[in-house]
Amino acid sequence: MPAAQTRSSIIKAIYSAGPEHGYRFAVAIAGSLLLMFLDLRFSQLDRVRQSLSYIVAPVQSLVALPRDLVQWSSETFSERNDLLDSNRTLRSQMIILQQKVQWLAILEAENGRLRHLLNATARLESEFLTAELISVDPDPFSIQVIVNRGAQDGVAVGQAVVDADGLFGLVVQVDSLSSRVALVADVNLAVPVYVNRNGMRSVVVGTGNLNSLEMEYVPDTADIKIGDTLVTSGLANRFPAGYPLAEVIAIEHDPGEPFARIRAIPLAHLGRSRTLLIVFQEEAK
Amino acid sequence: MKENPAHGLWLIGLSLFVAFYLAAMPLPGRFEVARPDWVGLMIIFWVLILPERFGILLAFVIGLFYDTLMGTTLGLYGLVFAVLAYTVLLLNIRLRMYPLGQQALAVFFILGLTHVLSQWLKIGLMSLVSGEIHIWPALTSAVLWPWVYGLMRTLQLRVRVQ
Repeated sequence: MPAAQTRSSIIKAIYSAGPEHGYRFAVAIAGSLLLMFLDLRFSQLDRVRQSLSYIVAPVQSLVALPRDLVQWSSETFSERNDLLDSNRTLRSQMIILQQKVQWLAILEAENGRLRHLLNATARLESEFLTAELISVDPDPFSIQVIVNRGAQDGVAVGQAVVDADGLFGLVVQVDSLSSRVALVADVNLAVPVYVNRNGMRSVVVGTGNLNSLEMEYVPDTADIKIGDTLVTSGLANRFPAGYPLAEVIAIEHDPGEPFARIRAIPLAHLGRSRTLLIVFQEEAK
Repeated sequence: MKENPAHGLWLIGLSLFVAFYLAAMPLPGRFEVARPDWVGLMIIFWVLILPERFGILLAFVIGLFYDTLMGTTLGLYGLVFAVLAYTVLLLNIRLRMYPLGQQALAVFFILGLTHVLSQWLKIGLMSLVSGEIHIWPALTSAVLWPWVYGLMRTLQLRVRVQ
């Protein structure tokens, strides 16, 4: 008798819940529309997102766990000779870099004096925060990565991210313990640059392909050659000035098009770099 | 519902955690497009089996967490998963009667619908330029449905989730 009662109550619950579902559905729809509107128009909702991300953070760190384990074990169980070898190369690299740093101090002082002579403003110093890549965005249509620094480390939306070889991307969203970086190859990102050889300014946009960038609105007669390095110009105050971004690899002149098609390959290792630097740039006033 | 006390609800949490893990796990580039919608599958399963416990509002909250995981506008997947749960609730009794193959076909159509919705919202709200709509996730999810259903049903009966 009790079992039959339970069953009948369940069936009643399923059948009689019709209009209730409708109300709940309406509440959920209204709630999500409101949230989307608030999230797109105002920034107060970032707090909510950051507190929600505390619960999602274990998933993200768990995703990174197998790779970390592999890396840890390969470091722990690697051959002594390999370790000695890499130690030796790192040491010699360090000596070369130290020698360059000595030069850098002299050059910096000289640059300061010359700028003073020219009455130019001093270069802005920027600070760095190291960050490690923890996962790649699972959405196949966006080129974004997630790094292990968030609002608690002082990261803010709009900061530039560089790796050892060039500009890597832009912080587009900050959670409490991690943040999301759009790579320079993202189709939604455009970087103002100049050609290092002659100072010609232009804009480089992503193509959605990790190994290819494109220069926009360059006239056919512009002085650009294959092998030119493109350096960030710092115009628009979004990206810091003076970081190498890409190298020109192909130039096409189509008589039917108003502009030349120029393709470049990013210098940063977008697919491989794991250790990144987040640039804290002082506000230019 | 005094005759029907809650029991073993931790399995719901655990299954969702695993689904989130599988959704965030990196896949080799070519297969990324065909990643099954694990969280969607779990929501369909629990709404189908326990409509009195797992309803639209819970699906909505899970959608908010999914938004923070995917970095989409907050509320986007809330809306999508609420639509998913509502559709399954409307079809609930019919879906329970279906054999597994037919259920998989229904899962294909329902998830396909939600993917079209989420992609439209992404294109509209986040100005996603390369917003193509692919049929792969719905297809792989539907192919996996009989196994997911079998495994989860066994676990659910073993733990006596109610």
